[in-house]
Amino acid sequence: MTTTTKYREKVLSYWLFIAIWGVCLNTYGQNRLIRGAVQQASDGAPLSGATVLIKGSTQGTFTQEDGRYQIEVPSDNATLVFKYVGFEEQEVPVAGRTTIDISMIASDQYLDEIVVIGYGSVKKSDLTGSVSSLKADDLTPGANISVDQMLQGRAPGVLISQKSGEPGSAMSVKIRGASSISASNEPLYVIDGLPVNNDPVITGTGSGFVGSQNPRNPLNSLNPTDIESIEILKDASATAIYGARGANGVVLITTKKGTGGSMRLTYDGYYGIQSVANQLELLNPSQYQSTLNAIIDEGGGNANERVDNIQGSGTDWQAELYRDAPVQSHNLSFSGGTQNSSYFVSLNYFGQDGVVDYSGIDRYTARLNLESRVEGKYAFGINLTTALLNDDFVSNGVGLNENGGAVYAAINYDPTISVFDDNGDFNRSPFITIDNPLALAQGEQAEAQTYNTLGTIYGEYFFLPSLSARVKLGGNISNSRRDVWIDPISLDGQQNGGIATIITGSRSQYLLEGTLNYNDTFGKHRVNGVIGATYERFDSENFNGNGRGYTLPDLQTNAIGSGDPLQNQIGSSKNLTKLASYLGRVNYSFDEKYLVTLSMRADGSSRFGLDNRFGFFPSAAFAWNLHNEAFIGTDNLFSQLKFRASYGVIGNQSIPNYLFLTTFALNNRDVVLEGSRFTAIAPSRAASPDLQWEETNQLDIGIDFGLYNNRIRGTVEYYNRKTTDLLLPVPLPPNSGFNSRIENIGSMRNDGWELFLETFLISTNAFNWTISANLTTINNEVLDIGDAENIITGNLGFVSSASIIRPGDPLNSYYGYVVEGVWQEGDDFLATTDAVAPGDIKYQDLNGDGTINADDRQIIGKPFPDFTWGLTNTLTYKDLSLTVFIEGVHGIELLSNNLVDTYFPINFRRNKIAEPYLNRWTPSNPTNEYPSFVNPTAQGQRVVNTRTVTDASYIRLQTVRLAYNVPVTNSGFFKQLTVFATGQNLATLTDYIGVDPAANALGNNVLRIDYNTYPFARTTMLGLTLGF
Amino acid sequence: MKSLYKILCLLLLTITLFSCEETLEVVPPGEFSPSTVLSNEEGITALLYAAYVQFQYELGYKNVINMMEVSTDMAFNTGGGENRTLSLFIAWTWDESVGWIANDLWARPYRAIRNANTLLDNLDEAGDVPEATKNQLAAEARFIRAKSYADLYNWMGPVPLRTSTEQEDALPRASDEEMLAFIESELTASVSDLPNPGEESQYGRATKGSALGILTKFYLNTRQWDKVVQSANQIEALGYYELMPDFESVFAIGNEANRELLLVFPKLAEAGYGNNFSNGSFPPNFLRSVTLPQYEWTTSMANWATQYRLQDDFVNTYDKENDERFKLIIDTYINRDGDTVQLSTSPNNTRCLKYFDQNAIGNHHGNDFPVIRYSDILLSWAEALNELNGPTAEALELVNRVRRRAGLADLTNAEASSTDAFRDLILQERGWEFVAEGKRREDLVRQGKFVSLAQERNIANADAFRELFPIPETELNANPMATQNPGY
Repeated sequence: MTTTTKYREKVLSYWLFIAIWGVCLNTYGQNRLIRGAVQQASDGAPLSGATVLIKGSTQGTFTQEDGRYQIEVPSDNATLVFKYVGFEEQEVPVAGRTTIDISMIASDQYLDEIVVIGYGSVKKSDLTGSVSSLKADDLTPGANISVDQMLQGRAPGVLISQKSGEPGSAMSVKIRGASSISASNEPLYVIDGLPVNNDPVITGTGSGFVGSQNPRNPLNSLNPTDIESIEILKDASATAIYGARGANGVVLITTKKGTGGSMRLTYDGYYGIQSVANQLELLNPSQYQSTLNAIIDEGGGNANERVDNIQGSGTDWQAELYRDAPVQSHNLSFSGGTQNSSYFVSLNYFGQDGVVDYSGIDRYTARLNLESRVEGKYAFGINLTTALLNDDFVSNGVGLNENGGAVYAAINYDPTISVFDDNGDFNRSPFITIDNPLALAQGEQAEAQTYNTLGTIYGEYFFLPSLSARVKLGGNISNSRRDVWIDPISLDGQQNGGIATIITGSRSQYLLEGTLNYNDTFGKHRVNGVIGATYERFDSENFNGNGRGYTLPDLQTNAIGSGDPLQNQIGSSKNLTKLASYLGRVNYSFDEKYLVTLSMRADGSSRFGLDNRFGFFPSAAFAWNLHNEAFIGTDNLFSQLKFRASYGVIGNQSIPNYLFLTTFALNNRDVVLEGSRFTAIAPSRAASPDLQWEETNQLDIGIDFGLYNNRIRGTVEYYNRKTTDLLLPVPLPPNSGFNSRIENIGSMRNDGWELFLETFLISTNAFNWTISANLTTINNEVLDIGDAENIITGNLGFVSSASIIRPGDPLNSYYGYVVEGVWQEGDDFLATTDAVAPGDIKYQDLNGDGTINADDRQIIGKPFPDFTWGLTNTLTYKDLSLTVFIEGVHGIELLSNNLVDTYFPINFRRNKIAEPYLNRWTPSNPTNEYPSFVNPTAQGQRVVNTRTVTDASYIRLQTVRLAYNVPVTNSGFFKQLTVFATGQNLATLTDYIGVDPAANALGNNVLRIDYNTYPFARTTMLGLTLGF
Repeated sequence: MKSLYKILCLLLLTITLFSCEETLEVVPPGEFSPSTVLSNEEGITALLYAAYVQFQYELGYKNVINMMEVSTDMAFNTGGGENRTLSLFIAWTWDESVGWIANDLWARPYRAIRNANTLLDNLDEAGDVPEATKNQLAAEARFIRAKSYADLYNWMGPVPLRTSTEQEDALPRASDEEMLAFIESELTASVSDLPNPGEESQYGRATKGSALGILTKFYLNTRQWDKVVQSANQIEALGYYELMPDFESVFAIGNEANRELLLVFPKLAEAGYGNNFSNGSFPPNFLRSVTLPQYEWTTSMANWATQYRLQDDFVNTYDKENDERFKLIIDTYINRDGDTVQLSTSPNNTRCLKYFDQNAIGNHHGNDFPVIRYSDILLSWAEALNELNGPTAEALELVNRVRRRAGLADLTNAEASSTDAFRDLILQERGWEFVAEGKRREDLVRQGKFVSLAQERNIANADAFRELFPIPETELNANPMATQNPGY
């Protein structure tokens, strides 16, 4: 019996108790002992953990591992009820017997599957909302530190992409588009019933260190192997119970529990090698020399910047910096239990070196899940996990020029010089102010150590079998310390005499939750309800200190105070938020045909002013199990046909604290007077006293179907989410001294279709072929942004104003110039007043005024795909199985800032992306594709244009996994031995010029700009699972 | 089980009772409440400091200097990310979308104004502050606000006149008269409560000299010649200011707080607080200049990709033999490989090295940015006298004081033969004196040459409307009452 079924059984047991509550008081009489065994009808194998109940009472027992049970019944007239998840329930009258053996027949497992929903669980057939339910086996295999990587492409409506290859960096996770302009678009993660605060523990990268803007993945501290199931709640009916945090969808993560019986020991492990999947194709040394010199000959650059010679064979800086790197995971779990209690214990090590030198992540986790339960009386449980994360960072952020990181330097550095000079020191180009890439990688060191403990404890008491009270306490505590050292071997370190930074942070959250649960059945009516109250508190604090000018730099951050005392800088911050909520839900079903769900949550948050502190989030859903209707169910075409519809209101409160208050804060810079610095205090913000939640009204209509005995099954769904009262940083006239004030203004809509289809194409005893496919369309439209005509935003590096927020268009559409081609000899140059020459880029003069300026900008791309899909093929032949997973993203654009640097070089001698330069315009090659690059900045900063914003659609062979179940069941020692080989990120089909079409250097997941992307890894690995 | 039952009931009750609104009261633990800041001298001074932070431009003053010079006959720029913006100013194609206009020329002064307004709005409530202190704090805030408006007026013409934090978000542009009257009266009013130069509590804070200096320049740029003379006389009457004997030392780190400086933006050789102009002035691989060998680049200094260059037609007007000021222009330098490099072999490639700190750290040189120097007062005074009375001996002497310090011979009546001739000579003198101090644009505009000189440089987009910069689109998009300058 698996851990899953044990859990499902417990839930089902509630239903049973409800059914018999009405007669339970009349059941006492003379007792008699019944014995027997329960087995599967198909193969006669014993079923352990099956429930045996006396009908009409609360008394019951479970079968032992050999399937045997014994139970005292009050009289010969009693009836026993046998239940086991996935099997048809049986009622057997005792009729005077003392031995009753039972064979149980498998039921329609798919529809009987238990799905966890917020504050409860239901059978899949009773679902009224839109929920994607994934069991551990459904997740994408591979070398994954965090669970979101395993969800990639798995569920319709859920767009997950990797933004950078840096180990442990956050994924972009968007459920049904983006609901908010400035508040978070991340879903709420709920781990074992605890809604998790995902804010980073540490902000800031450390003085002088160019860290990635992309935050650390908050799910890194959760061991994916511990996960039993993941439910993704998408529509309002499912998410409204999470109220003000539900608008972006909710991801419920349930960890494994022990199962009855003797201890089971399982080892899972793998070891793999990662290599760089794709690096930028830059000019090689000889191309660099010939192209740059040719441009000088044509009047570009500067005569003294000519490339005279190539030292040795030059240097491929990317190759110097990148490497093949190992990744491994080792997981040991113990589980078992007795009739009333169970345990699950696991230990995990995960280690991943980065494909860029000096980067990687290590994780150690331990978990203890305990549960004790007497059916119908009480239950008590604890889930506790603790993790230690060691991060090692290489500078790969978006800093510029002298402040650039190692990856940036490797892309831009002169390829004609050698790594080291004749003295063995790092070679530095006199023409380029960026530091040597390897000096940056080696000299700029950052490490972080994070401890995270997450736990919940609950106790439940049954006043009646149909009525219970449950109290839950939860906590999630993270402590982190980041040490950064800029060594004098780097230019920055040399200039500053070494820079040491220590940042510490702690973040904690506490949950107190009480719920009353009611389940009952009256004839064909079934009612299930929950009401409750929760209180949550979130604290965070940070400290950072940095020093410079170390005459003895040996001790680095271990003696941070040994630098120049005048240059020491310190800072700190502290935050507190509280959330108090009331929630309730009723599920009603009639005759297994008509299902209704009503839910609500009232959330009170300290983020909002007194008058708007509480928000109310109701939802309603209706579902109709058509397959249970006589007019459908007569033939066997439909094994399932369910129509469902839901509507509700959900909220978003993911904005900074205290925006409704007028306060003063430390100015980010001191004033300089009398040759010293003095602390300045400035107004914190333009306060918005009437601030309240964002509200998302979501409509969802879907049909779930199963054909030919569920040989083909699927879901077709339409969603329409309209967010109103957007938490929008309304641009204030800068003459007020403020840029913006967060107000509830404007609205935005996301709508689209979701399709899920699974077919058991071939299903024989030896050979099986299953195809699972999903497809999502997204249509995002900003409807209203208040009085402002538009909001132009999007800054990175030297690019500013890359995107626009404008009613009628998708959020953060790229806003720039259309390139018509290249000015050719013989063109009519009188048509323009701009200083252009043949070979320069010809922009579209939208208003025909003869000059290219801001008025000629238009929307040239969008950051949302038209549609995305995932396709999984699973082929099994006897004990061999092959899984192939492909995903696709179509109709999306991406701004490459590395292409911007290629088209508009920061300085002449930097290296460039090869393609445009090798095929550039010359009088003898009058192309319209690429300019001559002789005078690339003649027309100023028109950097956001249709040459730099390009199509970023792709199809990716994400995973191939080949596994073999070694038949060991008879060996007596192992219970299971599976060996597998997995390949990850094996191939990508795309027209995009860059490291990866999914790359994004911004922390934001809606606006996308690719810049100095840490290369993505291609991984091949071998692993095994051993069960004892 | 009974006890568990009781505990559960108790917990449920607790949650239900305490999940009420009072528990949601949160006092921001990391922010100051208005009552803490605004009730005492320390808090209000810290708020005044925040106005000074914006006023002093943090690290952004190099942008202002460059915009005001590459658009004229003086400076030039290539390379680096800055060139993406500066190339617009070189080609006269700047528009309302330019980030530097929105941030450095607009949002920054308005943040200084906001902080000053916040102080002025709340000063009356600050019971614990002595009256005299209040008066001086108010005078400094009014000075910062008026100087910010003078800059805005100089760049964009009349702008929304925000004088209190209580005004509505949307605010129309003031009339020309309102603007002129406000700046003049505020500066005049602040003079009386500001300390005498040398008596300010901390160097870098406003003095009577700073306010009169700004007022003089405001009168000059608005062509109120007789008032220029008046206020220059008031400065003279302070009896404090004089020319440093040696031009180069005016900017040297060791001579900070010298008596030539009426107003500076103080800088420190510390990360985040420096003068970062030199990083762009350094030519590639720079080690030291031939004319100023003591200015030697060290490995603790940065050298930027962008190149702050000067136009040959401007540099060639210098008396290269005698003019002491020309020493700060680099033509020939020794690079780190020991080679001698001559910059002027490429067009428009010489550099100005006014701000050099031997102890610079990274990007950050400690040299203060001069905003008003005494030589500027003398030349402004001379210019006003010339406009009023022609090239009088008094006016000539004012110019010659500046020339003598630079090692040049006195101007003669023959050279300054007419008002027009003298005006041109003063303009030329101002160029040599104030290169890399960001004054060229206003000087040319005042003399009506900003556009015509650009046309002479064959810049096709050199239209007359560009005498004013545009109101940035960030303002136009958010302020329905704001109107754009004509032509944009």
